[in-house]
Amino acid sequence: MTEPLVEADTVSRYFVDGDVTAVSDVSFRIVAGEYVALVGKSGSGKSTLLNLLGGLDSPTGGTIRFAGRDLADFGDPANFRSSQLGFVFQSFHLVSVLTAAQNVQLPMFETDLSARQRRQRAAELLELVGMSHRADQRPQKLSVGERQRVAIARALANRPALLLADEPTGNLDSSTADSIFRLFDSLHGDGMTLLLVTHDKLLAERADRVLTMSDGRLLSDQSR
Amino acid sequence: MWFITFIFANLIGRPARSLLTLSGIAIAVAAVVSLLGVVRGFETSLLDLYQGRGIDVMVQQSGRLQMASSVLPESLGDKIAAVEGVAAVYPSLIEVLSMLPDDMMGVVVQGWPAKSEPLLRLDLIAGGLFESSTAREVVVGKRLAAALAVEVGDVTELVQGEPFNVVGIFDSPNVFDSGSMFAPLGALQELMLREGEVTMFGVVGESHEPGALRDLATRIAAADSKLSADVADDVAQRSTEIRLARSFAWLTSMIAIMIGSVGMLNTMMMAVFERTREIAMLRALGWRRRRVIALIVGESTLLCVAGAVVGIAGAILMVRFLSEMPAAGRLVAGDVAPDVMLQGLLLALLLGLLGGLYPAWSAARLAPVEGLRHD
Ligand SMILES: Nc1ncnc2c1ncn2[C@@H]1O[C@H](COP(=O)(O)OP(=O)(O)OP(=O)(O)O)[C@@H](O)[C@H]1O
Ligand SMILES: [Mg+2]
Repeated sequence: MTEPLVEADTVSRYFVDGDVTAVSDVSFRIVAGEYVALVGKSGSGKSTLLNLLGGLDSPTGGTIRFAGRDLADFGDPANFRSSQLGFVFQSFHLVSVLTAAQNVQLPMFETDLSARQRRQRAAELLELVGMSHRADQRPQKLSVGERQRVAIARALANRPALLLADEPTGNLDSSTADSIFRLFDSLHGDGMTLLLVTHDKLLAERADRVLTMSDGRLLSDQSR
Repeated sequence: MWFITFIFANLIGRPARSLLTLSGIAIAVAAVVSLLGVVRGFETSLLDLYQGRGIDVMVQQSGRLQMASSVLPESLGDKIAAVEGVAAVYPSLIEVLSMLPDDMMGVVVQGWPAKSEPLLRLDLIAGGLFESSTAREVVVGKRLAAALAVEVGDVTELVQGEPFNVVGIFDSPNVFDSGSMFAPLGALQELMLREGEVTMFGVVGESHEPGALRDLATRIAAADSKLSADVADDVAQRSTEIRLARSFAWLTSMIAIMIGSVGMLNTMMMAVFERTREIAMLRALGWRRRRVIALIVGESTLLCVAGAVVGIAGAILMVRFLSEMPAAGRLVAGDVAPDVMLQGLLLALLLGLLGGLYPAWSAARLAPVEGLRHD
């Protein structure tokens, strides 16, 4: 059997504040190259689980392993995120005082790339997401769909093993969303492992596998 | 993109706030640098007033707090000259005259015998020295000559109805000097009705080594109970005026620093709070804590250095302007010492670090999940 890239083993997250168990006893594995959608009603714990997998938050129970290594063993999980993960957010979170190309370079500060190499790599990534022509624009000058493309290019900056996205099309109209779907499809085609949280039925249908959450629990795990 | 580009972009992207903080820092630094600069100029002026004169030990009347009020009989000079280690003794009468209208400081007139060491050391730019100790002649400092509007060959009245010929004009980098004049001792004594009286004796030692001079001063003081003797350098260092000026300058500087750092802290806290989500996002993208700290501290330091440059430039202009003003010009040396500027720069760096470190630390400590939820 293939070694899993990500492995959640009876993971729970309890919030004292509000006394809620947002994630309860969740176990699953994702192998490299999979395209996984995480769906469920609002408040079912999707974001919480995604944050745990990305090391932005720590589980109150269970373990998360990345390529066989327990996340709790990373001193500052930033090291792990910088080399292994790409994050895409619902509201893009682009830096308004920087151009598109500069935004894409932000994660590269944690690598050994020279300024020149960073610039080159950003240009390649913007090309990949079809944004080369807007490389020198500030985010305010871009449409929302274009902003999300830049954010995706930024998430890919350090050649991550896994791309995590929380409602990446939540702020987009359906036709813009569709173009973003196609971008994810093509990334998957190039071998990227994707885990996308979504409300969007259409996006979920494109994935190889759909994890459904309800009240913090994993309700179903269906592969196509 | 360089890391510094991001720092710059953050500051330039918020121009109003950056400029306000920068001016706050600039004002604090300008205040500190110009105050310390003026005091320093005052201090060095006073110091080389004695050092540049070739006088090693100053002998005054014992028990007097201020030199101006010291009175000694000129005849004590022989007793001092007899002390072991004394190479030369020059009696001097120092008077402060009111020669200029609306001048609160007055004009210092130093009476010395003709050909005494302090006179020979003057840097004459016109005319010459007086030849006799009783002639009604004066050598005038450049700044004072300008204030009195006199040239060599002119006549000036030290006291109304008492004309003296201006025989020479001297220059001195020292503001006190340049704003004063020298007269023959005998003539000044006669003018002020103080025949046989002096303010002090300037002593030149056989050795100029500080330890030897201190011993010499002790021996001179022991020679007569009316005498108190001090090494010239110590007199300047201890002078009440300098100590007062120093404490005022430091006090004002402390206030300026406090205001500056509160302003800086406020700006950086705002910058961090406002960008909570952005910082959390950077952490989510894999930025380590120390890079977040470097970003925030980098921003505050850059602001402070820019503020310091503006502030120091302002201080230089201000001090120069003050030295040109008739009222203050005879008190303020026109230049700020380089080490005072350096102090200003270091101070600004300190402000940047102090004002940036706490906000940076709180930004780095922030849990990324919390920050991403922040609105
Ligand atoms: N930091 C927190 N402190 C307290 N409770 C929290 C915290 N984060 C999440 N929760 C709670 O945990 C539960 C799951 O939240 P989560 O954001 O994971 O849901 P979600 O499935 O992403 O919902 P949505 O689709 O609306 O984004 C909710 O009840 C939420 O209120
Ligand atoms: Mg969510």
